[in-house]
Amino acid sequence: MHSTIKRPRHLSCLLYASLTLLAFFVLAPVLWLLLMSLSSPTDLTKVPLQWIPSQWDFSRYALLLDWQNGSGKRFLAAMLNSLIIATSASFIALVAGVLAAYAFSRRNASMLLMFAFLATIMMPPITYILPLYSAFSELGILNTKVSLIICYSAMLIPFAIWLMKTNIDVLPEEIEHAAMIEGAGTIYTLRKVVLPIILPAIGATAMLSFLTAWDEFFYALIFSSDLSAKTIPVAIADFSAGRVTDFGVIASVGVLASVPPVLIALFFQRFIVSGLVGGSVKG
Amino acid sequence: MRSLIGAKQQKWLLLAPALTVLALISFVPFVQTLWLSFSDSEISALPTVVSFIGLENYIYALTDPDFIDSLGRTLYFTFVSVGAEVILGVAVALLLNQQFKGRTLMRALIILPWAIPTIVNAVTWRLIYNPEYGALNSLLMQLGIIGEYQSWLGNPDVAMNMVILADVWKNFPLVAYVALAALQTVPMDMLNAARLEGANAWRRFFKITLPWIIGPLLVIIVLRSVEAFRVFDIIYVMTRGGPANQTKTASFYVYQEYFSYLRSGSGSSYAIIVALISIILIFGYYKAAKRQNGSL
Amino acid sequence: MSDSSSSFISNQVSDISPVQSSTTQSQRRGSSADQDDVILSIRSLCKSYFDAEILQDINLEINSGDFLVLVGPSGCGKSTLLSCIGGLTDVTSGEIFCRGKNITQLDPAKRDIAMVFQSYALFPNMTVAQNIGFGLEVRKVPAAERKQKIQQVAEILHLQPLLDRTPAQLSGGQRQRVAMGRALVRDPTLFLFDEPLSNLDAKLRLSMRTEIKHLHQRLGGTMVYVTHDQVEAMTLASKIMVLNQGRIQQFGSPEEVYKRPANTFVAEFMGSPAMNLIRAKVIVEAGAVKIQIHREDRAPLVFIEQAATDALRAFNNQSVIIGLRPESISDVAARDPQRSHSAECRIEYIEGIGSDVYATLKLGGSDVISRLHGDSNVSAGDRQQLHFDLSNISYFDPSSQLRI
Ligand SMILES: Nc1ncnc2c1ncn2[C@@H]1O[C@H](COP(=O)(O)OP(=O)(O)OP(=O)(O)O)[C@@H](O)[C@H]1O
Ligand SMILES: [Mg+2]
Repeated sequence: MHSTIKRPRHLSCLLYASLTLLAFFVLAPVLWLLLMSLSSPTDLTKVPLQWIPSQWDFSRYALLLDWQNGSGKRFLAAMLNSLIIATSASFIALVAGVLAAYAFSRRNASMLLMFAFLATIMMPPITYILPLYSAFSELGILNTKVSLIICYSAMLIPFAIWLMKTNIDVLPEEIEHAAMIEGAGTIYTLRKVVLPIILPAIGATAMLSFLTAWDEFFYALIFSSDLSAKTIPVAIADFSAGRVTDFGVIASVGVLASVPPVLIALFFQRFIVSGLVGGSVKG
Repeated sequence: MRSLIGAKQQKWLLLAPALTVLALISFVPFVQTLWLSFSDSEISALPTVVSFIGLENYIYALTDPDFIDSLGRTLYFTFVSVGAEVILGVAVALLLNQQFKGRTLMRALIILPWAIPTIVNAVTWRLIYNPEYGALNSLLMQLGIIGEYQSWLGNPDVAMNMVILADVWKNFPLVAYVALAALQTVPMDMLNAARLEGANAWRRFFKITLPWIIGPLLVIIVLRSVEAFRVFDIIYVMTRGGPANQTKTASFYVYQEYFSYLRSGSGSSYAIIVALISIILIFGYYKAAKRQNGSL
Repeated sequence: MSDSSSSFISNQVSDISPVQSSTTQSQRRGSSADQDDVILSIRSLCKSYFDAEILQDINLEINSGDFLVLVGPSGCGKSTLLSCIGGLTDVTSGEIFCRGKNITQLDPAKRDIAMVFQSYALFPNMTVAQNIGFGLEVRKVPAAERKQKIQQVAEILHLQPLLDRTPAQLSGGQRQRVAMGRALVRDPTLFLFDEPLSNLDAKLRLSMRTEIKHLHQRLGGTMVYVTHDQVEAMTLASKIMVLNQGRIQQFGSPEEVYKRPANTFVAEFMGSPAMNLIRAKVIVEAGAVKIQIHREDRAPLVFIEQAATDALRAFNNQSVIIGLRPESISDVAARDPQRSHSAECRIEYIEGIGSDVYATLKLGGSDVISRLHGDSNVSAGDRQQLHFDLSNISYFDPSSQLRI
C-alpha cells in the first residue's frame, strides 16, 4: 500500500468532503428512521419538521414489545415466525448445500446441473408461485411456517451450494483421500475433515442465508394470512398500509425488524462480505 | 479429477436432498406454469374444465399495451437502478480504497443499507417521501430548493425515479464491496509503472483499473439486473404500482393478474414472458461468470 | 492384520534398543513362511482417462516384507498406480488382489492400506495426536487403547513433544513424521508412499531415508514407495519397478535393475550420471566376438567379448548399442583383468565433483562419460589411458532397444 505517499492538500479536502457526503447519504435515512421512532406524533407532523425530538418518546417500543397488546402481539408473533422460518430454512439449505457442493466439487456432478440450480433462483418467483399455491392449498399447508420453510430452502440451497463449492474446490483433495484411506466414509470425512476446515465459509453462508430469508417478502405475502405464519416483512407492510396513522409506530417496527440483520451484518462483517464477494471476485 | 470407487452412486446420494427440494419447489412448478400458460385456466373455488388454447394467451399478452408498458417500466427500473448502483458503487469503492483515518469504520458503515431489510427500506423511504410530513420535503424546503411540498410518489413523472433512488440506496453497497475486493487485487506494480510512464489518474483508471475489475463487476451487474428485473416488494410497499400505473412493474402486473383478477392462464403466460427475459439475463450471467472463472 | 505384526505396537516399544531391534529383525527373517505370503498382486491393470491410456497392462506381485520402489519420469503414472491400489481411483480393467482377496472394487476405507502423501495431507484442524489417531477413531478403537498406540508411535518417530500441536505449527520434517505416524499406527497390510520425502531439503531427506529404512527393517511391513530419486530407490528397495508412459519397463531387484537393465530406457533412467550408450559393431571372427567402436580421431576401439551369448553372436556384422556405466570407464585398473580393456582416449572436457572427476570422451559418435579418480589432474584435450571394465557391460538391440 502507498501509505508513504503524501497527498496534496486539495485532494485531501476533496477526499474528506466526499467521505462526509457518503456518510450522510448512508446514515441519514437510518438515523431519520430511528428519530421518527423516538419522536412524539406532534413533532412528526410539524411543517417544517422538528428534526430533533422535543421530547424522547419510547412509548411505541413499549407497545410493540408487549405481548398483551394487539400491535405488540402482531409484531412479536411475526418476529418469532421470521426467526423460526429463517433459521430452519438456513439450516436445511446448509445441510443440503454442503452435500450437493461436495458432489459438484469432488464427485464429478455435472456443472450443467449446477447451472440449472443457479438458474432456479434467478427466475422471478412469479413463475413458481401459482402451482406452489395450489399444491400447498391441496396439502393444507397454506398459512403455515412449513410451507415458507420449504420455499425458502429452495431459494437458499443453490446459493449455499455455490458458496460451499467455491470453498471446497480450493481444498487440497489429498486431505480427503487421506481420510478415506484411513477408513473414513464420505459422510465421516465431510463431518470431521472438510466441514471444520471450511467452517468460516459455512458461517458466512449461514448468515447470508439467514439474512436472505429474513428479507423475503413475496412468498410470505402470498402464503401467509395470519399470526401463525406471517413473517416480519409482511407484518411491516401491514403496519404501513393499514390503520396505523402514527409514523412513529411504523418506524419503530422497522427499527426493531432491522436489529437482527444489522447486528449480524456488523458483527460478522468480514465473513459476510467475503461470502458476498466470493462468487464474483475470487471465483 | 480422479474418479473414486463408487463415486457415481455417491454423487446422486449427495445431490438427493438439494435435488428433491429444487425439483419440487422450482422445476415442477415452472413446468406447471408453462402448461397453464397454454390454457384458459382461472382461479376459482369450483372445479372447472381447463382446456388447451395454444398460443392465445401469448398473443393476447403481446398485444396488451398495458403489459408491454409494464415490461418497459421494468426494464427502465432495471437499467437505471443497476446503472446508478454500479457508478455509485465503483466510486465509493475507489474512495474506500484510499488511505485515510477511519477507513475501517467507513467500510463497515456502508454495510448498513444492505443489512436493512428491503421492506424496512421501502417503508423508510415512503415516510421520507411523504407529501405532508416527509423529511425530504422538509429538508429541501429548509434548504430553499423547493418552494412548496411535493408529492414525490404521487407524481407520475417522478414516482419511478424516487423508487429507484430507494433501491439504489439499499443495493449500492453490494456493488461497492465487490468492486472494492476487486480493486484490492489490482497489482500495485502495474499502477506504479503507469504512473512512471506519466499516465494521469483518469487514464490509469480507464486503462488499468477498470479493465482489471470489469470481470467481477460484470458478474455482479448481471446478478443485480436479474434481481432488479423481478422487483416486487419495494413497489408493493411504496406505491402499489401507482400513480397511474407508472410504477407497475412486470412482477406486480402478474401478481395482480393472478390474485386480483384470478386469471391463472393468462397470468402464467405473462409470467413465462417475464421468465424468458430473465433467461436472457441469466445467460448473460453465465457468460460473465465463465469469463471470470474459466469454469462456471 | 496378522498377530505377529500387530504385536509390535502393543509391545513395549520403548524397550527396543538397537541391539534388540536387530534381534527382532533376525526373528523376522527367520520366519520364512511369512516371507512368501503374497501381499499384493496386480493383474493386467489398465487405467485410462477418456482416451488417454495412463497405465497399460500392469502386472506385479510382491511378498510380505517387500519394499517395492516405483520409479519413472514425471507423468509416467506412478501416482495413478498408487491411487488404483489405494482405491482412490477406479481402474479401467484388470484386477488388484490384497492377501489373495480381490479388492478391485472395494472402497478405500475397507482395504486396510495406509498411505503417506507427498503433501502429507495432514488434517489441519486436528492436533498431531488426533491426526495419528484418526484411523483408530474411525474404527472406534477405545480411547484408552488409542491413546496408548498414539504414544507408542510418537515414541518411535520422536513426536512426543509435538502431540498437542496442529500441523501448521510443525516444520516440514515434523509434518512428514506425523504423516508416517498416521500410517504406522494402524499397522495395515500394505503401506503406500507417494514421494514422501520430495518436499524436504536435501539433508533432511537423507536422514529420513535412513530412518524409513530402519523402520522397515525393524517393523517389517510391506511397502510400495514412489520416488523420483534414484539413490532413494536403490537404497530402500528390495524390488524396483521402472515405469515409463504407463508401461512396466523392468521389475526386479535393485542390483538387477542397475546392472542388467532390461532396455535402453532403464539403462539411461537409472543411475546418475546415466549409463553410457555407445554404438558399436559386432564382428565374429574365428569364433571370437569382437566389439568395434568407431572413433573419429583415431583407429576404432576394438575389444573381445569373452562372455558373448549366442544372442550377441547373432548380431554378427550388425550394430548394437553397448551400455557402460561411467564407473566402468576409469583411470584405475579394473578388478578382473580378464574382462577389461585399456585404450588411450582424448578427453573432451572434464567436470570435477570433489570425490570424482567425470571426464567426457567421444566414442561411437556420442559423448561418453567416464569416472576418474578424484585426484587425477587431467585437463580437457589431454590423452589419457583408460581402463574399460567389461564385467558389467550391457548390449541392446538398436531396433527394439531391448537387452540382448
Ligand atoms: N484426472 C486426470 N485426467 C486426465 N489425465 C490425468 C488425470 N490425472 C492424471 N492424469 C495424467 O496421468 C498421467 C500420470 O499421472 P501421475 O500423476 O500418475 O504421474 P506421476 O508418475 O505420479 O508423475 P509425478 O512424478 O510428476 O508425480 C499424467 O500424464 C497425467 O497428465
Ligand atoms: Mg505423482
